Amino acid sequence: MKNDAVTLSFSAGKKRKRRGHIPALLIFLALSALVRPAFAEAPNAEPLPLVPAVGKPYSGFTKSFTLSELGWEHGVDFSGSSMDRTAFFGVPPSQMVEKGSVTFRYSYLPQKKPVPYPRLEVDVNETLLGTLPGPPAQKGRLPVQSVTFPIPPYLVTPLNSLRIRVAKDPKHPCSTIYAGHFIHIDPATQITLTGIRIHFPSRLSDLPLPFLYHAMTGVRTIPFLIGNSDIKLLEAAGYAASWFGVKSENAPLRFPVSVGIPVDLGSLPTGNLVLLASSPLPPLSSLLPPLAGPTLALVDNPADPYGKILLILGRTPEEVRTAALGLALGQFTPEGPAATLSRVEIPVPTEKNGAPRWIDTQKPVRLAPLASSPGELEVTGTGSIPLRFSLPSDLFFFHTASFPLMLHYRYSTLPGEGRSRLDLLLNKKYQDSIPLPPESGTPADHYRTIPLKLSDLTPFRNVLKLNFNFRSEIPRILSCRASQNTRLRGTILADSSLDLHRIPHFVRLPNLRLVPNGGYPFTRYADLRETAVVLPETPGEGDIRIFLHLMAFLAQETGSPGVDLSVTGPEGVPSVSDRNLILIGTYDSNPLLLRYGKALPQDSQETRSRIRLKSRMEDLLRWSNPPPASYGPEALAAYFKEDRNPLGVMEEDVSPLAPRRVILSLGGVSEQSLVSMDRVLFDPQHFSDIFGQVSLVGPHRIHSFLVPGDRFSLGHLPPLTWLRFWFFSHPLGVLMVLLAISLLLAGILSRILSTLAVRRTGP
Amino acid sequence: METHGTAPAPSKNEGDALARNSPGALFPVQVALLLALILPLLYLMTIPAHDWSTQLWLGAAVFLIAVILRAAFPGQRWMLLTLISLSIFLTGRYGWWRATQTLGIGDPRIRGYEYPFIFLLFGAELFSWIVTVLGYFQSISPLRRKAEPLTKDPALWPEVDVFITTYNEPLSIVRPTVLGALNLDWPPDKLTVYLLDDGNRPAFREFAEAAGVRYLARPEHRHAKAGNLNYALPRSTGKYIAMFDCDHIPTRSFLQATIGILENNPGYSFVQTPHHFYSPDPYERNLDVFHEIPNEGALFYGVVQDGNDFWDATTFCGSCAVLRRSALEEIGGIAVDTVTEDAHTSLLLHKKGWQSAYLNLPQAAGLATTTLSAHIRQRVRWARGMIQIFRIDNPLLAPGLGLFQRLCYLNGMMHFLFSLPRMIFLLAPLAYLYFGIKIFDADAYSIAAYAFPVLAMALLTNSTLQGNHRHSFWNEVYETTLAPYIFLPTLLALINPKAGSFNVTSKEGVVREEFFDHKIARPFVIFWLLNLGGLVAGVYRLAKGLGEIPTIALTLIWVLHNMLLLGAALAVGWESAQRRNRPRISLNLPARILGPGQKVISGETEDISDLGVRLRLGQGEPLSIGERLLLQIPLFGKIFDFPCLVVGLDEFSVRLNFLPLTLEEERNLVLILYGRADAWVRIRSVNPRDRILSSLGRLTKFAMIGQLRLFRSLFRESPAP
Repeated sequence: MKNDAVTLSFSAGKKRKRRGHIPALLIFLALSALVRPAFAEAPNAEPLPLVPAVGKPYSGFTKSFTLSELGWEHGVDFSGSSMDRTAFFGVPPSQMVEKGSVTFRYSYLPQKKPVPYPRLEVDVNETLLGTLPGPPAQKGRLPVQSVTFPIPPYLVTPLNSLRIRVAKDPKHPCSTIYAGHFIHIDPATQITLTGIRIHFPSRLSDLPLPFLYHAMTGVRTIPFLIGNSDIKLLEAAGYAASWFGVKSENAPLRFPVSVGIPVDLGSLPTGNLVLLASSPLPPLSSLLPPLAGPTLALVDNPADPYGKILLILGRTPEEVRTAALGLALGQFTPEGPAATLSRVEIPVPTEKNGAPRWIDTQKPVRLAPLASSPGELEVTGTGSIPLRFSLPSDLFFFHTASFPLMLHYRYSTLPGEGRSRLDLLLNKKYQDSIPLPPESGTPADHYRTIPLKLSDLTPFRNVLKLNFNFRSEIPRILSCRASQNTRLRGTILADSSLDLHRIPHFVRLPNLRLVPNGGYPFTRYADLRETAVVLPETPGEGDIRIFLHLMAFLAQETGSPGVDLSVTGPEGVPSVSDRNLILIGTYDSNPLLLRYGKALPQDSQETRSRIRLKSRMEDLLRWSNPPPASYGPEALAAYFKEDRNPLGVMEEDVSPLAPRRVILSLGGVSEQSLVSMDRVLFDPQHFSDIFGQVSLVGPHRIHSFLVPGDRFSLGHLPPLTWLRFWFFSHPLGVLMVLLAISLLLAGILSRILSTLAVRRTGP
Repeated sequence: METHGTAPAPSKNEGDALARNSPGALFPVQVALLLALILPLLYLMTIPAHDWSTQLWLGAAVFLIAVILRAAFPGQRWMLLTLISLSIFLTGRYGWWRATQTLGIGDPRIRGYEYPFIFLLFGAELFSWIVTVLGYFQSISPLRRKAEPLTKDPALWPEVDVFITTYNEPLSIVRPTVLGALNLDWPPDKLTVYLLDDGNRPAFREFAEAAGVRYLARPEHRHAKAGNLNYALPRSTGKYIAMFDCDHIPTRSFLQATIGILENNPGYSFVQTPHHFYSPDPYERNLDVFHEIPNEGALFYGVVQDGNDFWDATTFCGSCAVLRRSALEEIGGIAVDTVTEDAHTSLLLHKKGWQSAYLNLPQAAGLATTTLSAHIRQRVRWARGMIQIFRIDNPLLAPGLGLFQRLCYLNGMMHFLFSLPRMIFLLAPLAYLYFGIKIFDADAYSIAAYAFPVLAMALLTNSTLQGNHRHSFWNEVYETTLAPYIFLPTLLALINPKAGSFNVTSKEGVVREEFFDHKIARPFVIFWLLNLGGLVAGVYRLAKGLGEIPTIALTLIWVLHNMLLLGAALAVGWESAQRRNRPRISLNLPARILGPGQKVISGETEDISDLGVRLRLGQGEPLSIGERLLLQIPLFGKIFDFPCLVVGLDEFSVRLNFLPLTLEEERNLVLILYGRADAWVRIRSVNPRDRILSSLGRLTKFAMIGQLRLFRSLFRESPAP
């Protein structure tokens, strides 16, 4: 199974050496062979070897990252004179590095003719560690070499950068020494860090530490331990996951789940975990005094003194739910390790499209808050100002061609930099260039309104890049030094803004594209007031895992915890029928998937009849635009025929239970495949493959299809725009109205013309 | 000449003025309804298509509906109007899409030097859309006016002058015209025939004296034909003036058919009748399709003029027309500023508020131009003249015209600007095939999905509108043959309308042996070779994978279409032999021969010309070549005698040549040949209906012939023309 997370492996050998505990090692080895890790059935669970609670806890650690774990799965080939690559690695605040090193494995690529190689320089946190030595004077395939640079421990911080760059010749900074690939850095290049772990006191105020912290890199794995599969407990777990979503920004998350609390707390997983349980809970009583109500607590992990357990407890499942709400809403006394919540204030319901992370398009959008820091609005020399923003997913992009960017900027340039300009790119698509002619005197304020193409916006995440390009009139090689000149400067002033208020809010649903892009329509109200999750009667760990991940994902999209979400079993659907439903489960465990779904994950008469293949008549009459053939229902049927076995199906349909509501089905072929689906579905690199009404989730890819069926609209359009969109969506309507108009015109005109003819010639 | 700047002529009543106004004044409700319907139609044009297949679906559906309507309701006016509406819709939709999506504005993939090509092609298309739509309006409701009766008493009929203008034509052409004018069925004391000879030739003067017509020759020759006519104007007195070119022989009924309209409508300034040609035009002759396809002028006189008449915008064509002297005097005589004095004159009349009429009844006939080069020279003059008027007296700005009069005149003039767009269409695909230059910023599928339905629909609509008078694709052939020649003169006229002089169209001539007119065909050969090269380049591109296959395929189809037109133009450039000095006219009249033994032989004429007659006899007769006979043709209650000589014999027919005829006999011959009221009516109605596909097939055949002729001409010395 492919491991997509940075591996943290605790080398017992090193610890033994430090502390000299040979018996402890032996016991550890014996136990690790016997005890089945709690999450071993989860194929993507990170190796969290159980550590016995016997003996003295070790406090040393050794960790290593290979380049492939840091994201360079195939290594890097360096070429040219200006290549520059940076990777990041993190160290938790609870670990203190005492010694570190980076071991480069690399090989020189054979060249046709000998040329002087440029040197490669290696930096950690902007400090030069050394340079890679030149190649041996030898022809043909060159062997892999290695070199180790020590990393001074004082350089290591929670977030660290490893930068490899082609060294510039200080005398000729612009000259291109060598253009071809000349060196291959192997992905097995490894960073190794050793040090000691530090025990922190347990304080609720530190949350979300130790689960999440700012400099964390890689997938954030937060294991959940849930007392039983009571629906209230699961709801509580959903709120907690939602809260982690809010706190994690856009970082990748993973929620391994296990249901049931081991009698022996020493057999708990090591590291940090979240535990939800309601009384009676005898094993936990050793950790806490008896409960007086909904309780939140942060305690040491009995199985790992350096790990923490976040306890979300209550005497009844309802109290656990209250405690989770308190956590999600931040309504707990942060001092100390534990807090009992008397009551939780439910905040005023959020507005429609009122998610904190979505920009309000009803008024001009200032650019300043979109930059990650105020300093980012200025560049020195040639440079780029990226502005990231999330739009409500229901913006209606049809027809309107552009929206204005009111730009207020200053720049200072040098005489001779006549080709300088400010380039505008929206989502990497070129929009416009503003020339920056040299000026004399102090930089003047410039105001320009520039239309940006609406078609280049995406439904949710957008990046607007403002690139100040200082270019000399003379060719680039000679001017590259000048382009880095600090006297060249560009500034975007804070009152620059985007105007999107003319763009109406209107979407046609179901549309799966909006699920990874903003979580629409569920996040239309950021507190998930109109959303309910329907889990199987007895949810498995795969079901809960995907549920928690979905909750966290929606919270990441909105920036607000979904505290008004309802969770229910299949029997409870009538009570939430007026909400958008999310059905999770396998086709065996959740009968609603069969009832409301269309695309069952195998080829069958049933599926084919449900997805309603395109009929020739419909194709001929075109009441609506047929889907493109490669994504239509035929393609879906063909996909099944090819006997490819998807892990599961994600599908969105119109809810038959209430008007203008959808049902999102997440059906796995088995509990196991739900776990795999969880990995694929929330991976941003697959987001663009999700669209239409049906997405078949495979082990490595997602195939989406546009399936004819009912649709409804959400939002309002100005009448003329609505009409235009209606005609656009109904070609037959255009034809009918055209015919009616033409016949009427012909009739009237024919009468006028005959009367006129009589007037010309007499009767 | 006195000018009437103030009050309109008293004869123009208010009703006439009202009728000339836009229909808005007459039908407020209907016009409001029309506008209310046109707006959503325009709106629908701008609805974007979901993708090219949707657009293709829409275009195909519209076309299919049009085909069904056309087949189910033939000849219905509302069907035609529906077709026009659908065609305008598709054209407008295409135009909107072209203008907003395909010009590559702001598209970084389009390189700077490609924009001129993109915009040239777009401009050419824009021109053709405008002309198409203007053409629809011009011909939306052909009036098909009927002749109006005169009062019963000929004593009350008005005095009429007949002007016959000549400059350098031989007497043999002018004689029948003068005699035909004398044959006019009008009280002789009220009919004066003037022979206006700008060549001051004594033979003409003698003939005029012998025939009893007035002869006028100017001391100077300014302003060509217009000057010639204006010279005669104050030297004559009739209330009406009938004008004929020297080769247009009127039928005897000409005046009775036309004067009624002018007498009944005092606000009318002239009545125009069609120019009918009893000899084939160069297209018909060189492609050997006389009477198989409509004459080149059939569209203008069959549909356009009738359409113009509906909007009171009939164009005066210089001949075969009757004008009201008072109207002509009000505008100071025939216009002299341009080389198409006739069209300009009618524009001046309309500007003054005078109305006009077009009587679509051939009441005169003439000779068509014989060779392509002569035809081209004539059209170059027309084109230049119309562009001169466009510059000097722009109909859009000229005061006194109604909206639709302006549009009709505008179309009449804009039409002659076709040469540049036509040449752009002939060359545009080559820019891509040779150099890979993008000529539009769109994928080939979209272009095809938008453009093909537009073209198909325009074909269908035009075929319905003008099918009897111009067959599908022929317009393109005519334009292609003229485009290289008309370009510079129209351009010069646009720049400087004052330059240039009048040249007389040659109607005479015998092509003794077929020959390939290299000189005239040179541009077509060049264009054809360029397109052939494009074909090769396209195939090369396909083979080497240079460019997208759909784009190459689309441009190749375009190139093939161009080669079709150019091939046909090449075929027309091959001048086929015309052996007869005088065209024969098929005419079946009962006749009898009185031989020397006073034996009466009855028969029927098969064809007659100025020189002789072919008689079909009921049975073999004992005649011999060289025998002198008297031919008698009974007609109009009289018996006309002609002395003849037998020159040919076969089993059932005899060919006779006329012996030298007296003037009286010659006049009778003209009456029989050209003077019958119905002489030309029946012939014009035999035009075969247009069938779009067979027309395409025929054109393909001609293109093949033309290309073969081109090859053949390479190996054969051509005789001088």
